[in-house]
Amino acid sequence: MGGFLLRKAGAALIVVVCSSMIVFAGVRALPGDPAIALSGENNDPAVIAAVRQKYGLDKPLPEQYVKWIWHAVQGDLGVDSRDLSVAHTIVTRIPITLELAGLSVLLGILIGITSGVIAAVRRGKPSDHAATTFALVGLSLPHFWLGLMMIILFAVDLGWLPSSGYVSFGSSPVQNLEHMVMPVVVLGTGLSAVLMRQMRSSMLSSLGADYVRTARAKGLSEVSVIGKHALRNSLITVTTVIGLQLGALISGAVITEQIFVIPGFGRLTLEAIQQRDYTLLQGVVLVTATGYVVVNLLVDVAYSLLNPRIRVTGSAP
Amino acid sequence: MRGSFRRFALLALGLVLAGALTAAVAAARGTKTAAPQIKNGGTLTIGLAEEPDALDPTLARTFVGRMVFLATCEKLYDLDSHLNIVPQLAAALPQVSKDKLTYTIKLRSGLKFNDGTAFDAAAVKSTLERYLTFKGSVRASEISPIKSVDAPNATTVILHLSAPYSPLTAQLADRAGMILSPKAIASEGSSFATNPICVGAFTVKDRVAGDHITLVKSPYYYDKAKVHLASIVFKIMTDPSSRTQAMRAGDIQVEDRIQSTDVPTLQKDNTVSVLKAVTIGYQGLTLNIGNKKGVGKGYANVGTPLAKSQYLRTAFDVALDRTTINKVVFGGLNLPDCYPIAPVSPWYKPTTAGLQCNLHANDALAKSLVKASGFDNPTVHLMLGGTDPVNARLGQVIQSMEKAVGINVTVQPTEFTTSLNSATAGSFDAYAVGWSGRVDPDGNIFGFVATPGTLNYAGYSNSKLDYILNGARKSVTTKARDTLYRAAMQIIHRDRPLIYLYHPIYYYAVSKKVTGVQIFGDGLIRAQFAGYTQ
Repeated sequence: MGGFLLRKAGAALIVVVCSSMIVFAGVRALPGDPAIALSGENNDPAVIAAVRQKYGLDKPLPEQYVKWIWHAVQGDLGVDSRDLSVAHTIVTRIPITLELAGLSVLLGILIGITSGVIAAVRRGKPSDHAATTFALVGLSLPHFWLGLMMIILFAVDLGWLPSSGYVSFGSSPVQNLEHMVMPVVVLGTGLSAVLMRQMRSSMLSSLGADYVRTARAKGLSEVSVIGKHALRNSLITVTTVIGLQLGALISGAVITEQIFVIPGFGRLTLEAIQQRDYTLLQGVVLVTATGYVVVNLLVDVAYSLLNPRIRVTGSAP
Repeated sequence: MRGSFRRFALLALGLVLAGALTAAVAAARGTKTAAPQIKNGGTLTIGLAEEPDALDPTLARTFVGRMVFLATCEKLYDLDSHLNIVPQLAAALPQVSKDKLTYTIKLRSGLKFNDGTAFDAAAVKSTLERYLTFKGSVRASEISPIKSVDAPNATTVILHLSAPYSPLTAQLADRAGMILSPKAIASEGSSFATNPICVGAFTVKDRVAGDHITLVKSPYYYDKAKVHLASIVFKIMTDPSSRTQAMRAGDIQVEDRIQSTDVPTLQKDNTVSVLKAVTIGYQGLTLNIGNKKGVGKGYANVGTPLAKSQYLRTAFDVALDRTTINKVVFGGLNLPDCYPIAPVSPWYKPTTAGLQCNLHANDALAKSLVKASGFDNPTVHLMLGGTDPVNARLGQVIQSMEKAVGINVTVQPTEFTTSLNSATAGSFDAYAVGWSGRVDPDGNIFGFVATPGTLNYAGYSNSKLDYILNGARKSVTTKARDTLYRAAMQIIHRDRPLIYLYHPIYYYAVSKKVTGVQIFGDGLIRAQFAGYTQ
């Protein structure tokens, strides 16, 4: 087990180092000189030179990279164009996006799985048509449009919810939820639609399977047949889909955070790109890449615990 | 008997009329003086269109940053509603020596910084020296003629200049005139932006990057009675639609620069007042005449039809219908014009007198000028300083107008920062870009058309114009400067290194529950003395 973990951790480290190089090179491949973007309107050569010097842009690329990565491993990602610590900014932004994404997944699961089961069990009936229509609409609506419509209805016309912003759960749980309702619905709608379709399809397949027929023949109640047998098997596929949808959810969070003015990680990435803030952008992308690598490492470890053959062969048979 | 009745009737009539007149006057006075009562306390939330950069005036570059500074960092001089320079921390306008090399500034006494330390001449000296010497200072070039600063006593500062420089007072009415607490400079050093301390009605309480900046009322401010709000929150809301919806929902009380499509909606909203400000900025087309190797690297004609022929540049301008551009591209919400100085500036009339601004196209004249240029069906590559729909529309409208007179325009929408790179390098024929504007005419002209100008993307070099613009920098009297800038405008108007299209009009929304928010021609939201009505 120890050797397996060391191998995996070593591989993850190599991936992180490679990612950091790609991040570094990718950020510099963006068109437009960041020194000009950050030096203000006057295009003053002295200021541009000072900006280059301040952010080390006047040094050769390998030297810039080594300096940046050396500080990064010590937790220092530098200061951004606002003269604020990049590491501190990232640390304060990540929990906000995680909360948004987490609540959206919960909503997606709640609506998607419930409506998917109902649609499958009541196939061809009005509730099936209603759920299928909901899924179609949910998949078709762009986030920005749905977000704006919800703001106009619930914040402007009805005045029930705040139109935008974020209040942390720690400072006011009620206000936190009030601010999160609309963004979570916007982000969760698409996911629930995907899950509903997947759930319906899996359930239909399960309900027609031999083991369900056998369960019914044994005289089990319909609730038991659906809940204990069909649903449990159908959830395996749906769980995989949820995992695959997480990436799309994080991307969707960029737009949702922009519309609802939520100071999350997605909006931070967008701002860093728009402002050509190299230091901030490098930090954001490096943290994202490292996050993916760490999650993958954890998944590998989890698989190996669940299936010991992975440790021996390196892959499941 | 009849006579006494008549006298009684006349007396009665007189009394009635006098009473009616008194009542009318009282009513009229009541209408005029019924200013809304402002209550103390409350938080004003302002939705900003962009995020301010460093909150250190030494390093600050952004337009929105100046809005935060208005409430937190007062300056030696300020602007009044007519954009005249007036004293703020200074007690009077500077006294300029005969050789124009010494500026004596008297300061107000008894003022305190927001850390409780005294504001005095020594603080002004240390701040200006920081601006001149701090590594990466954006202010250094703005006040570079200052050779040294003396503080002979607590209320007098003497600036010694290396060369006469008339725009200095205007510079001291912007960020270069913001005075920092010496104690804070000493304790914060290069981290001053995280805890900026100046003289101001408010002081920075906290900043969450990308989200908000919170200011709280200062206990040390010299004019506390005028400050009604307990706090001001600058909320960063870069999406214009979200900003407008937040305004309509009442989540913010002031909306920074409404997008043109939202103006009618907010004008119909009876809970909101829409304020507008004709700004001192402009939008124009820079024509590349001599920028072959890059700005500041020596200019020689680039050899394109537009660069070679003054006739063609004039034709390009005459073919533009500024009124139609404003209607089609901006819904009529900007102010079409032909000059770098805006009509709201006191410099506008004296410097543009005698010049003719054609707001409508003259296709016949433009065609004859194209013919006179000797170029048959010339092509111009127009680079747009943005890839948004408004820029795209501007490019298309210009393209169609020029096509009507025989000039082919190819439109190149370019991301803004990339466009600045291309403009600096000289990789363009024409470049559609704007300028936020400065109070002093020098700030709108010198940098763009003088040979050493850092924004001279056109690569334009004219020794006569350089001589005039340098003369205007050295002249102290308004009359002399008027004359020189008028002469400069005539040359620019003739040679057309830049074609000016319009002055932006910015629209702002303010909740009707709030009073005292002011917008001047500089486009900044002044909210430090605002408050909620009772």
